[in-house]
Amino acid sequence: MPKYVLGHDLKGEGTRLALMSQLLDPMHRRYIDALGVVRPGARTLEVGCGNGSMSHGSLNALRPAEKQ
Amino acid sequence: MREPNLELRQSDIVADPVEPGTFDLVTARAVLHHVQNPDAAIVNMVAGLRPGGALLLIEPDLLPVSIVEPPDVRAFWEGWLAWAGERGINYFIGRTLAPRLAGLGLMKISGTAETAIYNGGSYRADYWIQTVTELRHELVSSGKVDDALVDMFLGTDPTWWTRAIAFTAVHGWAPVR
Repeated sequence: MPKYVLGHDLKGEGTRLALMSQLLDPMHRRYIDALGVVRPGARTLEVGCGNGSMSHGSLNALRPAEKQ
Repeated sequence: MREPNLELRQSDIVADPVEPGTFDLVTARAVLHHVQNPDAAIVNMVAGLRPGGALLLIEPDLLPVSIVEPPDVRAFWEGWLAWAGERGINYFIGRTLAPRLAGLGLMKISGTAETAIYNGGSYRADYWIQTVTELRHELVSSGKVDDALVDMFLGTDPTWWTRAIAFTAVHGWAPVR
């Protein structure tokens, strides 16, 4: 099996993944929101999370608002 | 990254499902085009769904590069695709997602492809510059593109508008038994 070409050890890969999150997370989140399945108590499996921005962001979106 | 409701695991989705029948949503983005056996990965992702759960896949389809201008940019992409083919990367997997899901018995399959229009100096251009810079040695040593073509591609002219990927998002639902 060929080696994955964009390994985390590549110079600049953190920057590339951050750009990817910035460009693609809004679209990804929009599609997830449209499905209406991610509610408090729901379980999500993200396969191949890159820098983790989607899973991390979804959790923050679901967290109850802090009391004022 | 530590959160009470977030668990990071290392496993091989091609080899095994993850906790079959338990997830409300299973999703992968820009993953399957790098996987040698995407069908096995998708089967295992579908196995993770509880009845009524949703699978959402988002993968590239480089259809737009076949019409980009000017011709030397198209030549770069042709070299990129030739290199990718040798490395087992499928940049046309987007168009195959819906039929793959249909073949696995998911219901109400639906999809959309989105293509960003961007110019030199934008974040999207920066993304490709970063990617091609990381892979420059590999690309040039493959013989599919040369240094001059890479240098041309790394330009940042804000008057140059282009497009590259049709990001294809397809979802389907596990039947309620």
